[in-house]
Amino acid sequence: MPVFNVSMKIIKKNIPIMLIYIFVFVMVSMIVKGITGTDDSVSTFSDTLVPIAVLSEENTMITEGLIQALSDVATLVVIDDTRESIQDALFFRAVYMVVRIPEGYSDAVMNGNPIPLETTTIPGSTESVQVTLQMNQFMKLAEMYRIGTPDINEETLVNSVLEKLKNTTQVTVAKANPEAIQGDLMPFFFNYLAYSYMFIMLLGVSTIMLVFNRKEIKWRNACAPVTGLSKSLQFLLANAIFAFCTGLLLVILCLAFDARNIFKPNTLIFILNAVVFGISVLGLSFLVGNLVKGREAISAVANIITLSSCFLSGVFVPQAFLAESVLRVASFFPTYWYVKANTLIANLTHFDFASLSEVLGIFLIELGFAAAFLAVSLAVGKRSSQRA
Amino acid sequence: MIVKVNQLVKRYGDLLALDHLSFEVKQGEIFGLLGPNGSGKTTAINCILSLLKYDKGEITVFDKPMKPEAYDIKRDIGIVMQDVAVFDELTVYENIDYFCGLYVSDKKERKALVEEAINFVGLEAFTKFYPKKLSGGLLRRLNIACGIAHKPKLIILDEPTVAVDPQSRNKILEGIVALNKQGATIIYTSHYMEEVEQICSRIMILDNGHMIATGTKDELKGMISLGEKITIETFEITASQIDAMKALPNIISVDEQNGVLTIRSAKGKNNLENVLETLKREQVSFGKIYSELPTLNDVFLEITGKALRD
Amino acid sequence: MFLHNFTYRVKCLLRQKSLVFWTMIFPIALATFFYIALSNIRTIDEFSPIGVALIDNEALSAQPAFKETLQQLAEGERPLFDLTVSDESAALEMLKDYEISGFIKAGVTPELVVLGSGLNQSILKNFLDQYSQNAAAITEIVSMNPEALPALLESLSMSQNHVVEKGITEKPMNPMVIYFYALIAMACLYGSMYGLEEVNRVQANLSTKAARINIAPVHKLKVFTAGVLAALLMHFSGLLILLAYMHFVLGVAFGDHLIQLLVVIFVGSIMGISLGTFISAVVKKSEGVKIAVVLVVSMLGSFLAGMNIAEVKYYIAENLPIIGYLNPATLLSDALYALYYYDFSIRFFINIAGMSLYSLLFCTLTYFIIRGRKYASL
Repeated sequence: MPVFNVSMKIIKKNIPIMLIYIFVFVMVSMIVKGITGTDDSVSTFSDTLVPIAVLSEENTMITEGLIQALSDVATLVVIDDTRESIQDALFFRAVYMVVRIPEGYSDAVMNGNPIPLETTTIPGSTESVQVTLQMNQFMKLAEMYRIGTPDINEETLVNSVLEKLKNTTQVTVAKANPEAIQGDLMPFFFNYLAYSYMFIMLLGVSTIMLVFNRKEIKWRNACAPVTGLSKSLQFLLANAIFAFCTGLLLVILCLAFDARNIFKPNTLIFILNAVVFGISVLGLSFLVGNLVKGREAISAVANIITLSSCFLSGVFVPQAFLAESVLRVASFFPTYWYVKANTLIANLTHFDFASLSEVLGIFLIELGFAAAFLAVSLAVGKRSSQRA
Repeated sequence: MIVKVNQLVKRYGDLLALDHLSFEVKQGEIFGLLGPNGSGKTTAINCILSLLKYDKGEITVFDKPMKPEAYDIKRDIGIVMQDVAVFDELTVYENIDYFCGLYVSDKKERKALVEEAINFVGLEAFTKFYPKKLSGGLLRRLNIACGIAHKPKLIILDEPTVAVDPQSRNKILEGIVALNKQGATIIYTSHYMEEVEQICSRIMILDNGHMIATGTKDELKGMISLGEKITIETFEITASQIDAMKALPNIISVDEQNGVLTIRSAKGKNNLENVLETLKREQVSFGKIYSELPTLNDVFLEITGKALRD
Repeated sequence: MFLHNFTYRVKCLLRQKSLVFWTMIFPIALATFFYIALSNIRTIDEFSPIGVALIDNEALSAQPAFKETLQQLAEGERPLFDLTVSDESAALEMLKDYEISGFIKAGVTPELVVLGSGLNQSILKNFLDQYSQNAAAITEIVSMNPEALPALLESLSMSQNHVVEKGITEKPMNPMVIYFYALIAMACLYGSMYGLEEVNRVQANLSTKAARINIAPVHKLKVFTAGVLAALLMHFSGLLILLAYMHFVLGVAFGDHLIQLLVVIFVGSIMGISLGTFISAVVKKSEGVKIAVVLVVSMLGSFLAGMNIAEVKYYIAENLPIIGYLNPATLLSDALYALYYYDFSIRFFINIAGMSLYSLLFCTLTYFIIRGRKYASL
């Protein structure tokens, strides 16, 4: 099997470069895991505290009460009251909100003419919602006591409010469905797999094809007493093994990074989706390998194709955030269907035929892509070999 | 003296690439450096050019010590490398102009020089071509033009004809002779002895970093005992007939293979005549018979015990 | 002599398609992808409504106000909740499938059912807490002062906001710029390819062309300097085109300090090219390996600066600040960010200083490695 052996040798020679991309995949996965954290299910509930900073321009019983109320939902971070340090603290997420208690605030509360608290936040963050809720509640309770009990003094008012804030709701912790995918990590890793997988395949397969498509080698091969079919099959076998090994490695990494979900049926379907995607990418790689001429062009083309299809298809940014028109364009890439299937699989909890039918349909589309790519690349390959 | 190399030693790790090499190149010569691949020709050239560090020895060019910053010397040297050294992004004209520009600042003067070089190597029709579009032979010619456009007094050509078709090769060799006639001293390295025999006025033979012999080609051939090589294609020959040949005067060796007899004889008169007489006397029937004078290959063979070609 | 080398270098570099691709076309393409992918997202920390189910039971029917409040909060332009009303078993199923963060059972005191702790769950709890807190307050006040009840109820129904949000600057802020700034950093670092090329061209042990230059009567560092300046001209112009494309076509904001912006890009291109010369001089391997090193350094650098996932930048700044300060890509994107986000600040100067320091370091090290003019082997 000379063609097979040579193909394997070329792949082996290029392993270091591909390992770089595996390494990038590992790095990204680790950092994402670090950011997201693993919210392991626990049987008890505890409040999640938001880091904030409070800058008070006066120091009264009311401001102290407010700060104490905030400490129910927040951890208080001390920062300097300068524009620079406020901006820095927010920029680096050392705090999610800076609350400024203006001068005259306490008097205003007592007079029933409250002046608003100034906040500087990371716009739109969930964290700031929580803190804002708590501040408004403190003010609301204070207002109620001021209206309801005339002549109330600061101390009583603050104490009553803080007393009421101690009323909390009973929280029950339920057990998660053992079959549901836990967290967003697994779908993320499998989506991200598309990027590394596609790039490595495009790079690897076109590198091999570049060697075999060199005119001199092509002619020499054509003269050899080996049938075209046998050559094609050997070539396909080598690339299929390459695709399989790369896919296997990436899938193992995905599973290793989110071990919580390994033994769920969804994971099996994720893997199946990756396999189907691998086949379509193999087809695409043949096509690209037949079209690209020159070693320098390979990495340019591989980068552009991979990044464009991944960005448009929602590998990096969820499909829900992409414009309709973008998605329509993206649907001409197998990546789009792969990501779409991943999204569906992540939400699967029943595994009968009816629930799976949509996913299976997408699998067929992906295989259709593979067949189309293969057919076109055969046509292109034939044309170019006749011309040469 | 144009170039003087004295006791030059160059090591690559444990490998001794040049072993106390000494030689001189005189004004107006075409000095041939002949040796098999890996014999140290290019290493010697790179040392002369001060590109390589060497372990021992002195090198002077134009009677001045050669150093990287010896610009007055460098200005008068032209080099044609073994590998084609041109920019793929520049056209034929631009390449020659660029390299010439490193020697000659004046634009007008340079333009004339570049055009002259283009005519000299016969690339007039290709000035706007990029190197990638040139055939191997044309590329070699461009490589030469880049090295000689600034009219150097000393031109070093390092295997300029490797992988070149016979036509281009002849053109290149003629060009080298022409350059020499215009007054340039030439150092020419090659492992093709025919080329060296054809154009060089003096030759040094290198093997494994050693100088084996140096002199004109006649001097070199005079150094060895072989005077004449006679080949006879016989139809049938017996051992006693061969012995009769061996008994002839002046004979060094007689070898027989498949009826082809190779007789090497020392210098002397009547060698061929003696052989012919013996053939008649012994009634050997033969087809062809021819006599050759020794080549540089025979010189190399006799001194090193191996053929130059391998 | 200088001009001769300079103009020919510019010619060569202009005709080197792969260089032009990596330093200009590729970043422009990537910027376009960013633009397409990110145009629908306004902020990175976009608050998405919290999924919650309300159990439809008798207690709920008895408290229409409770249901109404929740429904109000699930409507409008920026809803707090994504509310479904269902029976308990369906709600439990949704919860177990992670479709909602929790569900609420109304009652004398409402009960919250969740799967675990989290910010969304805490917000739900906080919201419910307020109910019982208000009830407790009313009970206490009315027991002391019964006439106050109507006023209390009125005040309760007025959902007043006592908080004003003050932007950090007066300018509109779009955190999406982090992606584009990191991309510019990557493009700057891709200038390393120019650096590789320039060193290749004068080191006789790297290319035969260089050998030819080394035997010419010119100091190779003179030829090198001319080449590096040509590369700088090319790289800087390429970056300006990228910048113009981002600003005028994609509408990426860069703040109002044009001169400072140009300074960042200029120092950035010097840093990129000098990084390349340094890599070329120090990595004693084949051309392919050098290019791979350049790609990895630039890609990894800009990844850590938040090019692929903006949060990475925050994560690094919070947890591994030293990497942030050592990463040339972070320095550059941070300098751009400082111009956009802060008015004039020390931060900008620190970043510029860091970039200059890197450039100086790379140049010096390169000089010491390539200044030799004789080689041990070719």
